[in-house]
Amino acid sequence: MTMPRRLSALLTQPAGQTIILIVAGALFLALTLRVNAVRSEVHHLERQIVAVEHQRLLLETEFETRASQRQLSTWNEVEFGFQAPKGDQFVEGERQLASYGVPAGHGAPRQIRLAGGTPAPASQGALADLARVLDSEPVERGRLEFGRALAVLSADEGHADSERIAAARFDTARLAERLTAGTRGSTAIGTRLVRSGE
Amino acid sequence: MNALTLSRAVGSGRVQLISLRQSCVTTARTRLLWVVGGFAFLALVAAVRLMFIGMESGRTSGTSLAEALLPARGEITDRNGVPLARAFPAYALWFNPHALGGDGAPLVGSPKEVAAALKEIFPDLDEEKVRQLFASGKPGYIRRRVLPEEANRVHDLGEIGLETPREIDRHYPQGTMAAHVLGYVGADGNGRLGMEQVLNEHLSNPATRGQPVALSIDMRVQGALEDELERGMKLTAAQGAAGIVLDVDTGEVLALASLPEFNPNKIDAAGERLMFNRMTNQVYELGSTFKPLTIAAAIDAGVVRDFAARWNAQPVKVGRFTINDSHPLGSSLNIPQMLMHSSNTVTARVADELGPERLRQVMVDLGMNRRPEIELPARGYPIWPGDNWPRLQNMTVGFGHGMAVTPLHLASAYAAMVNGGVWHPATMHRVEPGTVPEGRRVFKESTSSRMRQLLRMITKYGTGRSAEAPGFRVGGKTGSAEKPGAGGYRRTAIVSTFAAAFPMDRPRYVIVTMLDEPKGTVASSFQRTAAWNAAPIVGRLVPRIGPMLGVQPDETRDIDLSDLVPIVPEAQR
Repeated sequence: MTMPRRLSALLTQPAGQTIILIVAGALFLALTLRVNAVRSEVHHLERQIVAVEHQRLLLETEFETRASQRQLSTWNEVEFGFQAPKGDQFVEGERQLASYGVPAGHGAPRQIRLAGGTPAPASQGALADLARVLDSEPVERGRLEFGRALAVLSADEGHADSERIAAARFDTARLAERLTAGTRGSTAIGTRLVRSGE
Repeated sequence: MNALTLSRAVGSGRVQLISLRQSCVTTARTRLLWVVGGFAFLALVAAVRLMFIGMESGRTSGTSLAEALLPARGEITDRNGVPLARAFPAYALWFNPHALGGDGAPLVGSPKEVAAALKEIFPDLDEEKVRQLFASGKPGYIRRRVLPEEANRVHDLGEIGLETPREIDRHYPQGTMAAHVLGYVGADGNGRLGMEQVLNEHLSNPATRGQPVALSIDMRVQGALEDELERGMKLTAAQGAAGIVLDVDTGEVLALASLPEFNPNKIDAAGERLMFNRMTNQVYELGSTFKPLTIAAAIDAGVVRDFAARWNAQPVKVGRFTINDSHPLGSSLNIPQMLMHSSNTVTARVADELGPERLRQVMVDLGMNRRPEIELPARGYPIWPGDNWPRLQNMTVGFGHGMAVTPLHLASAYAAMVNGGVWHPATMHRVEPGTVPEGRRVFKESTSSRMRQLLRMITKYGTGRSAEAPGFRVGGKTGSAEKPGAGGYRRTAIVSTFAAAFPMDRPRYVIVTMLDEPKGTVASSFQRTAAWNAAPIVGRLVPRIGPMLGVQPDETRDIDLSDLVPIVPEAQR
C-alpha cells in the first residue's frame, strides 16, 4: 500500500479524521500560544520603550533646565566674561583674510596675493583633489589636442593600426598630463613620460 | 482442645488477616487514586488556566505604544525646536505617615533630624514648615518637583514615609524666560495667560497634542533681550521694562519680554502680581518715537518734499497752550535736524500742516485705534482721541502725546515704516517661507526709503547715538514721555522708549525697548531720557543678536546718506 493510498484510507475512516483533527487542533493551540507569547514579549518591550522614553524626557528636561539660557548667562558673567564679537572681528571671505597678511619678519618682502576669479574649493583630501584636477576643463582640452596630434602623426607614417597605437599613446599622454597638471614645476618629468610613451 | 480445633482456629485467623490485608490494600489504592485524581484535576485546571492565559495574553496590551508616548499636554518649542514648555513624568516628594504601618511613629528618625537632612538636599526648603508637617501626622506634599538626583538622595535617607511618586508635570525648562509669552497651566490643567491659553485646545486634544507647536520666538534672542533689559532696568532702578524684536517682513515676534517676570514653574501670589504684560497690555504715551511716523505721513502726503527747507523751531502757541522743546534748538531746523534733536515744535508745525484727517488716517492704518494684533490674550485697548481731532490734539499726537498705545503698536508701525511701507500683524507663530500673509500698504516705498535714511541719521548723529552698534547699521528714535497722574503729567515719572531697526540698508528687524520710570543714576549719568537708558540697551543687544539672526556686521557698508549729510551741519563735524 503506497503512502497516498494509506492517507486517503485514513481520511475516509472516522478514526483517522479524528486523529487528524486532534493533531491539527494541537498544532493550532501550540501556534496560538506561540503567537501570544511573542505578542506578550512585544508588549513587554513596548513598556520598556515607554519607560526609557520617559526617562529620556526627564533627563533631557533636567539638562535643558540646568543649561538654561539664564544659567549660562550667569555663568558667563561670573566665570568667563565673553562678549559679543564686534563688527571688525568678522571676516567676510578669503580676500579680506588675505588683506590682513603681514610680512614674515623685519625687512621681508610683502606676501604675494593672487587674485582669482573664483575661490578654490576647499581641499577634500589628496585623492579627491587629484580627481578634481583630472576632471577640470583645461586638462581635458589639452589631452584631446595632444591625442589628436599623435593620431595625425601616426597616420602619416602609414601604419594600418595607427588609430590603435594613437589611442595607446594617447592614454600614456593622459597619464603624463595628469601628473603634470597636479603639480607645478614638474613639466620635465611629464615630458619625459610623454617621450617614453612615444 | 484437639489438633483439629486448633487448625480451624489458625485457619480462621489467617482468613481474617488476609481479608484485612485486602481491605487495607483496597483502601490504600482508593486513597491513592483519590490523591492522583486530585493532582490530575489540579494539573488539568492549571493547564487549562495556562492555556487561557496564553490565549488571552495577546489581547491584554492595554494602550498602544503611540498612546503611551503621547504627552499629557502638547509641547511648545521655539522656532528652532528648543522645548519651552513640556509635560513629562516628574518626581514629587510626598510624606506618607502610614507607610510604616502600625500605630508607631511615621518616621525612623526624629522629625527634626529628617527635616534637617531634607534641608541639606533642598537648601531653599522651609525646615520649620516640614517639621510641622511631620509632627502633624497628616499626608502632604513636601515638594511638587524633585530632580532624579535629589530623589536618589531622598531614598538614601532610608525613610519609608518619604515617597517620591511620579506625576505628570508641566515644566518650563528655561524658567522665567518668555513667561509672559508662554503663560502657565492652572491646577485644572487648562492654560492660563499667554500661548498656553491660546493653544489650550490644540495642546490638550489627543489628536493634535503629539505634534509640538513651534512659536516664532528664538530662544537665544529672547535670552539676550531679557538679559539686556534686566541689566538696563537695574542700572536705572526702573520699575519695569519691556522689549520686542520683530521681523519687519513677516510680523514674527522673535523675542518679547516684560520685566519683572514671573516664574511659570512656581505660581504664587508674588508671581501673580507680575503677570501684567507691559509690551502688549499696558498703554503708554510713547512720546517722541511717534515723530518719525508723523514725518513719514507728511512725506507720503507731499507736505514734506524739500529736506533742506527750514521750519520754525520757536514755541508754538495754540490757544492758552504753548508747545516747547525740552531745550532751545535755535530759530529754525530742517527735517533731518528736527528728528536728530527731537524737536516738538517743528513736529507740531509739520502735523499742523499735514492736518488732523491725514494724520488720523495714517494712525488708523497703523492699527493705533484698536487692540494690537497678536495672538496673546492680554492686549490693551489704546486711549484713542476719537474721530474729530482738534488742532492742538493733532499737534500733540504728532509728537506722541494725547494718545496712548502699547509698545507693540509702535513696533508694528515701525516695521511698516521701514520695510517698504506694508503693515503686517504681529504673530507668535512661526511663519513658513512663502506663507507670509498679505499686509496692507500704509506708506509709499519711496517714503519708507527716505525714513530709513532719517532714522539712520538719528542714530549716527542725533539723540540715538548710544544705540549705535558698529557695522550693524542701526537706525532708531528715542522717546521720553512723562506719565500722566492725578492733575496732569508727573514730572518725576517718565517712560523712556527707543524704537529701532537694523540693518538700515535693508531692514530686517525692529527692536523696541522701553523702561518704566527709570531714575537718573550714575550709570545713566544722572539722566532719565531714552538716549541714556533705553537706547544703550539696543546698542548692546544688536551685536549679540545680529549674527544669530543672519545679519553680519560690516563696517564698510551703510545706507547712502550722501544727499542728506550736506544739509546737516552736525553730520559734517
